[in-house]
Amino acid sequence: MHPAGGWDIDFFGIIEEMPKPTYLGEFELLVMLCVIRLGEGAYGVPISREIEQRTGRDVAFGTVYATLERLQKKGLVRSDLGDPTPERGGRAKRYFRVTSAGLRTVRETKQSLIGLWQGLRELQGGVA
Amino acid sequence: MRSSHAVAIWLFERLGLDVALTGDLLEECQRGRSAIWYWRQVLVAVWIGIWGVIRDHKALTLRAVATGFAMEYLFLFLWDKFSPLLPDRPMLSIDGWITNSSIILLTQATTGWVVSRTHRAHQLSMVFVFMICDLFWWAHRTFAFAGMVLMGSIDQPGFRPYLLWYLTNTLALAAGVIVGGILGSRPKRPSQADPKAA
Repeated sequence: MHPAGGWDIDFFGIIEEMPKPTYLGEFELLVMLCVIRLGEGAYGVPISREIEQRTGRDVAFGTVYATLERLQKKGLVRSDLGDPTPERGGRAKRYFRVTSAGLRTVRETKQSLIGLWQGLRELQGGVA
Repeated sequence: MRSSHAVAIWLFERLGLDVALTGDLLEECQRGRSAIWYWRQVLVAVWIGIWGVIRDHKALTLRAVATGFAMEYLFLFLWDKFSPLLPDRPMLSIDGWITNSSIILLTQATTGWVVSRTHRAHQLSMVFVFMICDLFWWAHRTFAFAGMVLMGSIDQPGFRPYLLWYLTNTLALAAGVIVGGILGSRPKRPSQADPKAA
Protein backbone atom coordinates (compact mmCIF):
# COMPACT_ATOMS: atom_id res chain seq x y z
CA MET A 1 0.00 0.00 0.00
CA HIS A 2 1.25 3.48 -0.87
CA PRO A 3 1.68 5.90 2.11
CA ALA A 4 -0.88 8.21 0.51
CA GLY A 5 -3.35 5.36 0.48
CA GLY A 6 -3.10 4.19 -3.17
CA TRP A 7 -1.49 1.07 -4.61
CA ASP A 8 2.04 1.65 -5.85
CA ILE A 9 2.36 -1.75 -7.42
CA ASP A 10 2.10 -2.12 -11.18
CA PHE A 11 0.16 -5.40 -11.30
CA PHE A 12 -0.07 -5.48 -15.08
CA GLY A 13 3.67 -4.89 -15.34
CA ILE A 14 4.30 -7.79 -12.95
CA ILE A 15 1.99 -10.07 -14.92
CA GLU A 16 3.73 -9.14 -18.19
CA GLU A 17 7.15 -9.81 -16.69
CA MET A 18 6.14 -13.16 -15.22
CA PRO A 19 7.74 -15.98 -17.21
CA LYS A 20 5.04 -17.55 -19.34
CA PRO A 21 4.97 -21.33 -19.16
CA THR A 22 5.90 -22.97 -22.44
CA TYR A 23 4.08 -26.14 -23.30
CA LEU A 24 5.32 -28.66 -25.81
CA GLY A 25 2.99 -30.55 -28.08
CA GLU A 26 3.66 -34.22 -28.78
CA PHE A 27 5.40 -33.63 -32.11
CA GLU A 28 7.30 -30.65 -30.72
CA LEU A 29 8.63 -32.88 -27.93
CA LEU A 30 9.70 -35.52 -30.48
CA VAL A 31 11.54 -32.89 -32.52
CA MET A 32 13.20 -31.40 -29.43
CA LEU A 33 14.39 -34.84 -28.29
CA CYS A 34 15.81 -35.59 -31.74
CA VAL A 35 17.62 -32.24 -31.90
CA ILE A 36 19.15 -32.93 -28.46
CA ARG A 37 20.07 -36.49 -29.47
CA LEU A 38 21.74 -35.42 -32.74
CA GLY A 39 23.72 -32.59 -31.15
CA GLU A 40 25.94 -30.69 -33.60
CA GLY A 41 24.65 -32.48 -36.71
CA ALA A 42 20.96 -31.66 -36.29
CA TYR A 43 19.51 -30.42 -39.55
CA GLY A 44 16.35 -31.30 -41.51
CA VAL A 45 17.40 -34.67 -42.99
CA PRO A 46 18.78 -36.41 -39.85
CA ILE A 47 16.02 -34.97 -37.65
CA SER A 48 13.33 -36.38 -39.97
CA ARG A 49 15.15 -39.74 -40.22
CA GLU A 50 15.57 -39.96 -36.47
CA ILE A 51 11.84 -39.40 -35.94
CA GLU A 52 11.01 -42.00 -38.62
CA GLN A 53 13.40 -44.59 -37.18
CA ARG A 54 12.48 -44.08 -33.54
CA THR A 55 8.71 -43.74 -33.92
CA GLY A 56 7.97 -45.55 -37.19
CA ARG A 57 6.11 -42.46 -38.40
CA ASP A 58 6.42 -41.21 -41.97
CA VAL A 59 7.09 -37.51 -41.44
CA ALA A 60 6.98 -34.73 -44.02
CA PHE A 61 10.02 -32.46 -44.02
CA GLY A 62 7.70 -29.47 -44.21
CA THR A 63 6.07 -30.49 -40.93
CA VAL A 64 9.47 -30.81 -39.25
CA TYR A 65 10.55 -27.38 -40.52
CA ALA A 66 7.25 -25.77 -39.47
CA THR A 67 7.66 -27.27 -35.99
CA LEU A 68 11.28 -26.11 -35.75
CA GLU A 69 10.25 -22.61 -36.80
CA ARG A 70 7.59 -22.58 -34.09
CA LEU A 71 10.10 -23.82 -31.50
CA GLN A 72 12.52 -21.13 -32.65
CA LYS A 73 9.88 -18.45 -32.16
CA LYS A 74 9.35 -19.77 -28.61
CA GLY A 75 13.10 -19.48 -28.05
CA LEU A 76 13.56 -23.21 -27.48
CA VAL A 77 15.90 -23.81 -30.42
CA ARG A 78 18.19 -21.62 -32.47
CA SER A 79 19.59 -22.15 -35.93
CA ASP A 80 22.65 -21.35 -38.02
CA LEU A 81 23.30 -21.81 -41.72
CA GLY A 82 26.19 -24.04 -42.79
CA ASP A 83 28.09 -23.76 -46.04
CA PRO A 84 26.29 -24.32 -49.38
CA THR A 85 27.14 -27.65 -51.02
CA PRO A 86 26.74 -28.69 -54.69
CA GLU A 87 24.92 -31.97 -53.86
CA ARG A 88 22.21 -29.87 -52.21
CA GLY A 89 21.78 -27.66 -55.29
CA GLY A 90 23.94 -24.97 -53.73
CA ARG A 91 21.72 -24.68 -50.67
CA ALA A 92 23.16 -24.53 -47.18
CA LYS A 93 22.13 -26.80 -44.34
CA ARG A 94 20.28 -25.15 -41.47
CA TYR A 95 21.64 -26.56 -38.23
CA PHE A 96 19.43 -26.47 -35.14
CA ARG A 97 20.56 -26.39 -31.52
CA VAL A 98 18.52 -26.53 -28.34
CA THR A 99 18.75 -23.44 -26.14
CA SER A 100 18.99 -23.56 -22.34
CA ALA A 101 15.31 -22.54 -22.20
CA GLY A 102 14.59 -25.47 -24.53
CA LEU A 103 16.42 -27.94 -22.29
CA ARG A 104 14.57 -26.62 -19.24
CA THR A 105 11.22 -26.96 -21.03
CA VAL A 106 11.96 -30.55 -22.07
CA ARG A 107 12.88 -31.42 -18.46
CA GLU A 108 9.67 -29.83 -17.19
CA THR A 109 7.61 -31.68 -19.79
CA LYS A 110 9.27 -34.94 -18.76
CA GLN A 111 8.43 -34.29 -15.10
CA SER A 112 4.82 -33.49 -15.99
CA LEU A 113 4.50 -36.67 -18.04
CA ILE A 114 6.09 -38.82 -15.31
CA GLY A 115 3.70 -37.28 -12.79
CA LEU A 116 0.74 -38.11 -15.00
CA TRP A 117 2.02 -41.62 -15.65
CA GLN A 118 2.51 -42.61 -12.03
CA GLY A 119 -0.21 -44.55 -10.28
CA LEU A 120 -2.13 -45.51 -13.41
CA ARG A 121 -2.91 -49.19 -12.85
CA GLU A 122 -4.41 -49.48 -16.36
CA LEU A 123 -0.98 -48.83 -17.86
CA GLN A 124 0.94 -51.29 -15.69
CA GLY A 125 1.89 -54.80 -16.72
CA GLY A 126 1.98 -54.20 -20.49
CA VAL A 127 -1.40 -55.87 -21.17
CA ALA A 128 -4.06 -53.85 -22.96
CA MET B 1 15.04 -33.16 -61.17
CA ARG B 2 17.02 -29.93 -61.63
CA SER B 3 14.09 -28.14 -63.31
CA SER B 4 11.68 -29.47 -60.63
CA HIS B 5 14.09 -28.22 -58.01
CA ALA B 6 14.19 -24.75 -59.60
CA VAL B 7 10.37 -24.63 -59.54
CA ALA B 8 10.35 -25.66 -55.86
CA ILE B 9 12.91 -22.97 -54.96
CA TRP B 10 10.90 -20.40 -56.90
CA LEU B 11 7.76 -21.37 -54.98
CA PHE B 12 9.50 -21.42 -51.60
CA GLU B 13 11.06 -17.99 -52.19
CA ARG B 14 7.72 -16.45 -53.08
CA LEU B 15 5.92 -18.07 -50.16
CA GLY B 16 8.66 -17.05 -47.74
CA LEU B 17 9.50 -20.66 -46.83
CA ASP B 18 12.94 -21.74 -45.68
CA VAL B 19 14.90 -22.63 -48.84
CA ALA B 20 17.24 -24.82 -46.76
CA LEU B 21 14.36 -27.31 -46.95
CA THR B 22 14.79 -27.59 -50.74
CA GLY B 23 18.43 -28.54 -50.15
CA ASP B 24 17.32 -31.25 -47.71
CA LEU B 25 14.84 -32.61 -50.26
CA LEU B 26 17.47 -32.67 -53.02
CA GLU B 27 19.89 -34.44 -50.68
CA GLU B 28 17.28 -37.11 -50.01
CA CYS B 29 16.55 -37.49 -53.75
CA GLN B 30 20.22 -38.15 -54.40
CA ARG B 31 19.94 -41.00 -51.90
CA GLY B 32 17.27 -42.65 -54.04
CA ARG B 33 13.97 -40.94 -53.21
CA SER B 34 11.55 -40.64 -56.15
CA ALA B 35 10.27 -37.52 -57.90
CA ILE B 36 6.80 -38.31 -56.51
CA TRP B 37 8.21 -38.29 -52.98
CA TYR B 38 9.95 -34.97 -53.74
CA TRP B 39 6.79 -33.30 -55.01
CA ARG B 40 4.68 -34.68 -52.17
CA GLN B 41 7.15 -33.10 -49.73
CA VAL B 42 7.11 -29.79 -51.65
CA LEU B 43 3.30 -29.70 -51.73
CA VAL B 44 3.04 -30.50 -48.00
CA ALA B 45 5.53 -27.72 -47.22
CA VAL B 46 3.66 -25.26 -49.46
CA TRP B 47 0.33 -26.21 -47.89
CA ILE B 48 1.74 -25.82 -44.36
CA GLY B 49 3.26 -22.46 -45.37
CA ILE B 50 -0.02 -21.14 -46.80
CA TRP B 51 -2.06 -22.46 -43.88
CA GLY B 52 0.39 -20.83 -41.43
CA VAL B 53 -0.05 -17.46 -43.17
CA ILE B 54 -3.87 -17.77 -43.04
CA ARG B 55 -3.75 -18.73 -39.34
CA ASP B 56 -1.41 -15.89 -38.40
CA HIS B 57 -2.96 -13.19 -40.64
CA LYS B 58 -6.72 -13.68 -40.57
CA ALA B 59 -7.55 -10.00 -41.18
CA LEU B 60 -5.18 -9.83 -44.16
CA THR B 61 -6.73 -13.02 -45.57
CA LEU B 62 -10.23 -11.54 -45.28
CA ARG B 63 -9.00 -8.35 -46.95
CA ALA B 64 -7.49 -10.35 -49.83
CA VAL B 65 -10.74 -12.26 -50.38
CA ALA B 66 -12.76 -9.02 -50.18
CA THR B 67 -10.40 -7.32 -52.67
CA GLY B 68 -10.71 -10.23 -55.08
CA PHE B 69 -14.50 -10.30 -54.92
CA ALA B 70 -14.69 -6.52 -55.31
CA MET B 71 -12.82 -7.01 -58.58
CA GLU B 72 -15.14 -9.87 -59.57
CA TYR B 73 -18.24 -7.71 -59.04
CA LEU B 74 -16.64 -4.86 -60.97
CA PHE B 75 -16.07 -7.21 -63.91
CA LEU B 76 -19.61 -8.58 -63.63
CA PHE B 77 -20.95 -5.02 -63.70
CA LEU B 78 -18.86 -4.24 -66.79
CA TRP B 79 -19.96 -7.52 -68.40
CA ASP B 80 -23.63 -6.71 -67.84
CA LYS B 81 -23.04 -3.24 -69.28
CA PHE B 82 -21.01 -4.15 -72.35
CA SER B 83 -21.75 -7.78 -73.23
CA PRO B 84 -24.80 -6.77 -75.35
CA LEU B 85 -22.33 -4.97 -77.62
CA LEU B 86 -20.48 -8.22 -78.36
CA PRO B 87 -21.59 -10.23 -81.42
CA ASP B 88 -24.00 -13.02 -80.48
CA ARG B 89 -22.34 -16.43 -80.73
CA PRO B 90 -23.70 -19.90 -79.91
CA MET B 91 -22.39 -21.12 -76.53
CA LEU B 92 -20.75 -24.25 -77.90
CA SER B 93 -19.26 -22.75 -81.09
CA ILE B 94 -15.46 -22.69 -81.23
CA ASP B 95 -15.15 -18.91 -81.43
CA GLY B 96 -17.77 -18.45 -78.68
CA TRP B 97 -15.87 -20.92 -76.54
CA ILE B 98 -12.51 -19.23 -77.13
CA THR B 99 -13.96 -15.76 -76.50
CA ASN B 100 -15.62 -16.88 -73.27
CA SER B 101 -12.54 -18.67 -71.92
CA SER B 102 -10.29 -15.76 -72.92
CA ILE B 103 -12.50 -13.24 -71.10
CA ILE B 104 -12.53 -15.44 -67.98
CA LEU B 105 -8.76 -15.95 -68.17
CA LEU B 106 -8.06 -12.25 -68.65
CA THR B 107 -10.42 -10.96 -65.95
CA GLN B 108 -9.26 -13.58 -63.45
CA ALA B 109 -5.61 -12.85 -64.21
CA THR B 110 -6.28 -9.15 -63.55
CA THR B 111 -8.00 -10.05 -60.27
CA GLY B 112 -5.11 -12.32 -59.24
CA TRP B 113 -2.62 -9.59 -60.13
CA VAL B 114 -4.51 -6.99 -58.06
CA VAL B 115 -4.78 -9.35 -55.05
CA SER B 116 -1.07 -10.10 -55.33
CA ARG B 117 -0.01 -6.44 -55.64
CA THR B 118 -2.22 -5.24 -52.80
CA HIS B 119 -0.99 -7.91 -50.36
CA ARG B 120 2.76 -7.73 -50.77
CA ALA B 121 3.62 -9.27 -47.42
CA HIS B 122 2.14 -12.65 -48.42
CA GLN B 123 1.38 -12.39 -52.12
CA LEU B 124 1.04 -15.98 -53.34
CA SER B 125 -0.59 -17.23 -50.15
CA MET B 126 -3.30 -14.58 -50.48
CA VAL B 127 -3.76 -15.31 -54.19
CA PHE B 128 -4.12 -19.02 -53.43
CA VAL B 129 -6.71 -18.38 -50.70
CA PHE B 130 -8.67 -16.13 -53.03
CA MET B 131 -8.52 -18.74 -55.81
CA ILE B 132 -10.05 -21.38 -53.52
CA CYS B 133 -12.85 -18.96 -52.50
CA ASP B 134 -13.31 -17.99 -56.15
CA LEU B 135 -13.75 -21.63 -57.16
CA PHE B 136 -16.44 -22.09 -54.49
CA TRP B 137 -18.14 -18.89 -55.71
CA TRP B 138 -17.97 -20.17 -59.30
CA ALA B 139 -19.43 -23.52 -58.26
CA HIS B 140 -22.24 -21.70 -56.44
CA ARG B 141 -22.95 -19.41 -59.39
CA THR B 142 -22.91 -22.22 -61.93
CA PHE B 143 -24.78 -24.70 -59.73
CA ALA B 144 -27.99 -24.18 -61.69
CA PHE B 145 -26.13 -24.62 -64.99
CA ALA B 146 -24.40 -27.77 -63.77
CA GLY B 147 -27.69 -29.15 -62.45
CA MET B 148 -29.87 -28.34 -65.44
CA VAL B 149 -27.59 -28.53 -68.46
CA LEU B 150 -25.08 -31.16 -67.39
CA MET B 151 -27.42 -33.45 -65.48
CA GLY B 152 -30.20 -32.92 -68.02
CA SER B 153 -27.97 -33.94 -70.91
CA ILE B 154 -26.07 -36.77 -69.21
CA ASP B 155 -27.43 -39.34 -71.70
CA GLN B 156 -27.50 -36.91 -74.65
CA PRO B 157 -24.81 -36.30 -77.30
CA GLY B 158 -24.48 -32.71 -76.06
CA PHE B 159 -23.23 -33.80 -72.63
CA ARG B 160 -19.54 -33.98 -73.48
CA PRO B 161 -19.29 -30.55 -75.15
CA TYR B 162 -21.19 -28.98 -72.24
CA LEU B 163 -18.96 -30.76 -69.72
CA LEU B 164 -15.86 -29.66 -71.64
CA TRP B 165 -17.17 -26.09 -71.75
CA TYR B 166 -17.74 -26.14 -67.99
CA LEU B 167 -14.36 -27.70 -67.17
CA THR B 168 -12.47 -25.36 -69.54
CA ASN B 169 -13.99 -22.30 -67.94
CA THR B 170 -13.37 -23.62 -64.41
CA LEU B 171 -9.76 -24.27 -65.35
CA ALA B 172 -9.47 -20.81 -66.97
CA LEU B 173 -10.79 -19.27 -63.76
CA ALA B 174 -8.28 -21.04 -61.49
CA ALA B 175 -5.37 -20.67 -63.91
CA GLY B 176 -6.15 -16.99 -64.52
CA VAL B 177 -6.03 -16.11 -60.82
CA ILE B 178 -2.78 -18.04 -60.29
CA VAL B 179 -1.07 -16.67 -63.43
CA GLY B 180 -2.08 -13.10 -62.53
CA GLY B 181 -0.89 -13.65 -58.96
CA ILE B 182 2.45 -15.00 -60.18
CA LEU B 183 2.91 -12.09 -62.59
CA GLY B 184 2.29 -9.66 -59.76
CA SER B 185 4.50 -11.44 -57.23
CA ARG B 186 8.06 -10.73 -56.21
CA PRO B 187 10.40 -12.94 -54.18
CA LYS B 188 10.31 -12.02 -50.51
CA ARG B 189 13.24 -10.04 -49.19
CA PRO B 190 15.88 -12.23 -47.48
CA SER B 191 14.87 -10.82 -44.11
CA GLN B 192 11.31 -12.04 -44.66
CA ALA B 193 12.01 -15.26 -46.49
CA ASP B 194 14.79 -16.29 -44.23
CA PRO B 195 14.35 -14.63 -40.83
CA LYS B 196 16.75 -17.05 -39.18
CA ALA B 197 19.61 -16.24 -41.50
CA ALA B 198 22.32 -14.11 -40.03
